[in-house]
Parts: sequence; structure tokens; C-alpha cells
Amino acid sequence: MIASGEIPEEVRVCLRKGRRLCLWTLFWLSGISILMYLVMGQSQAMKTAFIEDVLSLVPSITFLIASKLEGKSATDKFPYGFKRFNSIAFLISATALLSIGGFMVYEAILALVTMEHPSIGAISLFGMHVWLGWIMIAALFYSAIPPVILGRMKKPVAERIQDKVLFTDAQTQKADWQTALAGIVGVIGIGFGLWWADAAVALVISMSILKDGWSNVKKSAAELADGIPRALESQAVDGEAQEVINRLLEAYLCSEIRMRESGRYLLAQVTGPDAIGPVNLAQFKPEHRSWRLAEISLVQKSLDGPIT
Amino acid sequence: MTKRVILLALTLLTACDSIPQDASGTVKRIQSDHVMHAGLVSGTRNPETAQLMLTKLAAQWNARVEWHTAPASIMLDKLEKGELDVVVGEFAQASPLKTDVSFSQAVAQPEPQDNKLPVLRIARAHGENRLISVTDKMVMP
Repeated sequence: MIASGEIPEEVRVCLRKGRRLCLWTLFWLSGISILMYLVMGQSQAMKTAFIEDVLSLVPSITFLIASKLEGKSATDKFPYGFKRFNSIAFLISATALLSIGGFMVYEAILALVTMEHPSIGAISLFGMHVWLGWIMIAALFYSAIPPVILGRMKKPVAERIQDKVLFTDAQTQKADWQTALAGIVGVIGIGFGLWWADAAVALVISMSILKDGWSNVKKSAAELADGIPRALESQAVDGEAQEVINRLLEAYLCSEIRMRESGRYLLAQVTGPDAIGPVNLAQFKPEHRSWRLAEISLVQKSLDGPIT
Repeated sequence: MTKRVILLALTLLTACDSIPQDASGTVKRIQSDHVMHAGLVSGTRNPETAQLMLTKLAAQWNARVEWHTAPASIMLDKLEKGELDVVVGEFAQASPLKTDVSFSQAVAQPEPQDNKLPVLRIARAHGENRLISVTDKMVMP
């Protein structure tokens, strides 16, 4: 299954939905990024929101690419198929989220240390002279709406098909709307003469984004290094992976069980003297998402030392 | 929750008039001291329009303008240190000094096509957003 272009029906439906949401994300965020660029002026929060918006396009783009590749069958040059591109996309998305957090922390600290006083002047709009801060607040408010909706729509889809790229994308959307709200508070703070409000609020928000980004980078690195599959929202061992391991341990008493993840799919290897085929995959599948177990390979050999 | 949001919105609406404020309170100080400390960069051609605008603005705040003349580097340094409130001079839109101070639009003329061409502008200290906003509105056609 892992080498074929075969995709379980549940995953196929969700991937289609995920792709649609990501296309909407690209549409809205591109527009928002242009708007931010036009009104950012000298506000730190606005600049950060702009760069953050541009970077937040990355997870959606990587999801679109990886989800397209997932359905491709193996080739001579890719004999194991393309399902693992999801893991690569996860690392790229996680790095983008980490970069957003890191960049925000750097910019906010720099603004606080250098005591940068942001200037926001007035502009002429439809014949009226308006303080640019009000326009910025309106733009930031507008920029927060699509990420709230899209992020909330992506999260359940990501959970259903255990898609870490889409989940990271949902987290990035959360970072988006949080940054926008931080920007609003920052601009209002500037309006009240508090030059540090902008950077201080951005710093607080960026810490949680940095934490999410770092956690995802660790998880994606573990996935690419064939570490044991991790849960979607934490560093704990994935519940379904543990379920399969337990079943295999019961069936192969004298063997070692190794479990890894290729994108959303679980791959197990049983190594030991009793690892003799044939194996009935259905017997070991997790209850909730049975399609996740894609492969069990048996390696018959004698084990030295105690059996785990 | 709804009550809190309404309360916050009402607070913001009532605060609309007093927003933006200056980070260092320049406008409040002008109003309380009845003096606006203005710098004029020596050699500035035809600064009268900007000078008249600032005199009118100061009058709105029951203040008079105290003019000081010196080269741009000295004037802008004093502006940054808060020793001056505004500086009138000829500055280009693409001036590297804009990271140090906030320049208004071109006074009494449209922005030149060449952004390296120095034209009459009013410089203000960064963060003094009430003063910046008021002078911006004053300069706008």
C-alpha cells in the first residue's frame, strides 16, 4: 500500500477538503499580505504581521504539493512511493512556524532594546484626513477573520486523517489571528502614547508561536529519523501506534517491534525468531483509523539478549 | 462578556478624540508651557508657508513659536533629544534621516517625482503621534 498510489477513501475525501481550504487560505492570505504591506507604516506589529502573513503561506503550499504527491504510485527512482513527502512537508511547515515565532521574538526584543518609538501619521482617504492607526486597526481586524475561520475548519480535518502538515497549517492560522489581535492592541497602545505596547504584545504572542514551532520541528525531525510516531498535539507516543505495538507484542512474544511513520501511515517491523509470515494486516490494525497501518514487515532472526 | 465588549468599544469611542497621543507628551507640554520650540534649518528656501502653518497651529494651542536657526544636523539632533518640537527644512522623501525622525509630506507642493530631491518638510520626533498626525493633516492638500 505504501508504494502504491492507493489512498483510503476517508483520507481521499479529507485531502480534497484540506486542499480546498488551503487554496482559500492562499487566496485570502495573499490579499491580506498586500493590504498589510500597503498600510504597515512604521508599526512594528504591522511589519511583523505582514512578514508573518507571507511566511504563513508556506504550510498551505507544502500541504498542496504533498497531498498531490501522495496519490502517485512508486517509480524506479522512488520505489517506496511518495507518501513520505508528507513528512518532508511537515518539516518545512514546522520550520516556517518556528521562523515566524523566532522572527517575531527577535523583532520585538530589538524594538524594546533600541526603544524604537513607532510613528503613525495621518493619511487622506476619500477626501477625509484620518489617523493611519485607525486604518491599521481595520486592516488587522479584517486580516484576523479568515485565519480564525480557516484554522477552525482545518483542525478537525487534520485530526481525522492525522495530517501533521494541515495541523501545523491550522496552528499557523492561529498564529496569524493572534498576531493580528496583538497588532490591534499594539496600535491602540501607540495611540495612547505607549511606544513599547506594540513590541511588548508581539513578544508575548511570539513566545507561544515559538513553542508550537519548536514542538513541531522536534516531531517532524523524529518522524524523518524514523522515531516512534508522535501524537498530533504532543510529544507523547501516538495512541494508535501504541495500540498496534501492543497487538504485535502479544502475537510475536519473542520478537522486537519497531514502529515508524511515513506521513500519516504506520509502518511496523517485527524482528525475532518467531517473525514468520504470512501476516494478516487486518488483525493488527488500530480500531479507530484502521487505514493507518500500512505495512508490517517480518524479519526472522535470533535475538541476542533479553526480548523486549 | 458582551457587556465588557460594549464597555471597551464605548471607552475606545470616547477615547477616539484623544487618540493618538504623544509618547513623550510634546503637544501637552506645548499647551501647558504655551511655547512651541521650532527649528529652522539654515539656508532653507521659502520656509514661510511651513512657518505660518506652525504659527497657526501653536495659536490653536494658545502657544507662541520660538524659532531657532542652525544647520540640519544640529537641529535634527535637538529634535531627537526632545529639545525642539518640530524642525522646518528641505529634506528628500528617500532621506536616510527618516529612520531618526518622522518627515511630513512636502509642504505647499505635491510630492516630487524624484524622491531624492529635497523639498520643504516638517520634521517631528518619532513616536510623537499626536503632533505627527496633526501636522500631517495640516500639510495635506
